[in-house]
Amino acid sequence: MGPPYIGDAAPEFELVDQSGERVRLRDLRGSYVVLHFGTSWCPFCTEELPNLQRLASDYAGKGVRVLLVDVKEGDAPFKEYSTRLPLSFPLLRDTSGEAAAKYAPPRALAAIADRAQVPIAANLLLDKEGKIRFFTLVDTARFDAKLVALRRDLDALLAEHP
Amino acid sequence: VIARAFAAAVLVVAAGCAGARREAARDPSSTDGRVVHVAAVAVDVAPGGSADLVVVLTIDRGFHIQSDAPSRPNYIPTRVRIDPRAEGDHVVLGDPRYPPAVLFALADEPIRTFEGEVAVRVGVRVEGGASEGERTLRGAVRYQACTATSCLFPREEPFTAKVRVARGPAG
Repeated sequence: MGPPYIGDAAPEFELVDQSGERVRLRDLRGSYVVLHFGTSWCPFCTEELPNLQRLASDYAGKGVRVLLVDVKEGDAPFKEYSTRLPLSFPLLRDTSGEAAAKYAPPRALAAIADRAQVPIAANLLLDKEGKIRFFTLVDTARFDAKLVALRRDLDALLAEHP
Repeated sequence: VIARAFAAAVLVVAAGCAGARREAARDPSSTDGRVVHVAAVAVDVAPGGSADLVVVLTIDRGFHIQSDAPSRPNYIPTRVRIDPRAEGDHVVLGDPRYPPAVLFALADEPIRTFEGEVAVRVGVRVEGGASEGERTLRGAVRYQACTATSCLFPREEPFTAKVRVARGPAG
């Protein structure tokens, strides 16, 4: 598995969602996947959550799947996070943070020792082959809570390869 | 109001006030997520008297932490707690009093945070029957920090505080 940059294969994971269903990333090949890492307490993630749900609704019939990975949380925060809004997509529980850590680009935010923290509030777009086509970490100066850039790239991909 | 258990206070937030924003922050030095450095100033109180214990949180430059009254209920509030065991020794603690918050711009909704150096005051009352001597109080600060480009997991930072009980001009 290479480093998680644009053009690389998305690191594999298998996690359980809020319904108790196991979700394997590789099983979603053939769909575009919007992947978001979050926590219940993260302000950036809180701002993005309704827009993520809106995106999931808008693209539901276009072969786009949305996954939200909740990083290193206990039972109560996970439950609160999964019920804060009616979500139409899986909220996956990454209790150990191992899945999230795989998505920390090696030289990004190098000062942070716990690599599971790095992708919190990150958004990725995976193509039908599971390659990363869009990857943003949080940047307050250009915080895109409404996911405008992600939608733009998703639309471009859908236009090119419906 | 004097609390007899672990103290936790929610005060009115005057967002944007510079009170909590003194530029005394340290440059980030740690990589382990410890970005708030806690120190308590020793306080002298005479039996029957009272004073404020000041707990100083020094937040690494570039970081902010959620205020004691964060903008949303799911955010982690900053909490200063002091072990109440001292009350058995005629020392009674009040609720922490936090400074005004600082607004951090986040999309359309600025959020209430602390930055720089933050002084949290805890009232200490020493009962008349207290014996003279020094008490060491143990406490902890719970916080959740972010920068402009990342958020750190919540953590707790322990500290100790000295209360010196002595008859004399203090208190």
